[in-house]
Amino acid sequence: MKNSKVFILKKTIYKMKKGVSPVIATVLLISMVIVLGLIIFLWFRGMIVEEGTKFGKNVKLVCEDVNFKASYSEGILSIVNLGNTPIFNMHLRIFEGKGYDTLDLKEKYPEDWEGLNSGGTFSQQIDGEVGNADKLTLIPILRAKSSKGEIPYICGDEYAREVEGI
Amino acid sequence: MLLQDKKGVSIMVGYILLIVGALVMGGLVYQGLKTYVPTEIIDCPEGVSIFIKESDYNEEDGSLEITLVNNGFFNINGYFIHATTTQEQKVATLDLSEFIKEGGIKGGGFVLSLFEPNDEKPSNFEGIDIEIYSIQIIPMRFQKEDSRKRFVACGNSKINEDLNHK
Repeated sequence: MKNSKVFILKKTIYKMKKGVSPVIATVLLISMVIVLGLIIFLWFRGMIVEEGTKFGKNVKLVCEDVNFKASYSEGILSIVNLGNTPIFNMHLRIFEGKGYDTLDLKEKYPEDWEGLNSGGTFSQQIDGEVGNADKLTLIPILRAKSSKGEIPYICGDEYAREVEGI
Repeated sequence: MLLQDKKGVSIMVGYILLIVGALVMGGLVYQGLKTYVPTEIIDCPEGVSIFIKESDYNEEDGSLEITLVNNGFFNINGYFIHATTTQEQKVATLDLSEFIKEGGIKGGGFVLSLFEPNDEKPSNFEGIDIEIYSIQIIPMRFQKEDSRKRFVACGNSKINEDLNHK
């Protein structure tokens, strides 16, 4: 009889045992959430294009501070940087008819283009490229700091300036 | 019953984890968003002004003499000086700072010369080997930004002067 009671008690205690202790369950839960969060973060970060910063500001905002003037006469393109934001490179858009061609000034004239610091100037004979263009516009490209180092950032079309004299 | 009463983490540890998590996430969001906050741009004060009182250009010996007057409310520490090399050119790109002989010190693409308000100073440039038609001057200043002196170009105070050929 006594043996039978002990057996029932042991059986009850055995039934009360859980698979894992609550401490381990909590630790597992937290670590799974952290791991899942990291996976989602890294996945999304890969999809989002990093814009970078310049002077501690998002480079997109710095594009508003760019101030330059450009003119075209006798086949020569002349640019002066009037602001205090260094211009790393520029895209020249040559509009003809309904479309346009884009010319990367740094790529096209690597020996003459040295970037435009404050007060810096650039002039280049480009009549061979321009042809019978209806309009020329210049889009500034800035150098921004990012987690991958220094990256070029092309300012939006709203920051394009028309070249005078065409 | 004793086994069922066990908690994963104590209430105190739970709170600490929650607060630390909230602080870390807040810090991450702050770092990401602070770059989007527009900050004051480095710019010259509006009262910066300079004008060319006299100019004398001799294309035969390539000499240029100009008298500059600071008619603004602030000190000017120097200027960028560029010239046009054709009559049609609207943006001057030829750097004249390398030809300075008197009235300033040659800097990296600019002339260093202190002009206090109402100061009038002549500057001589010699050996200009290309015929020039007009000059454009952009004043520059050294301004204190975040307790350090920074060089600032005053593009909005740019002046132009057509040169008379002898």
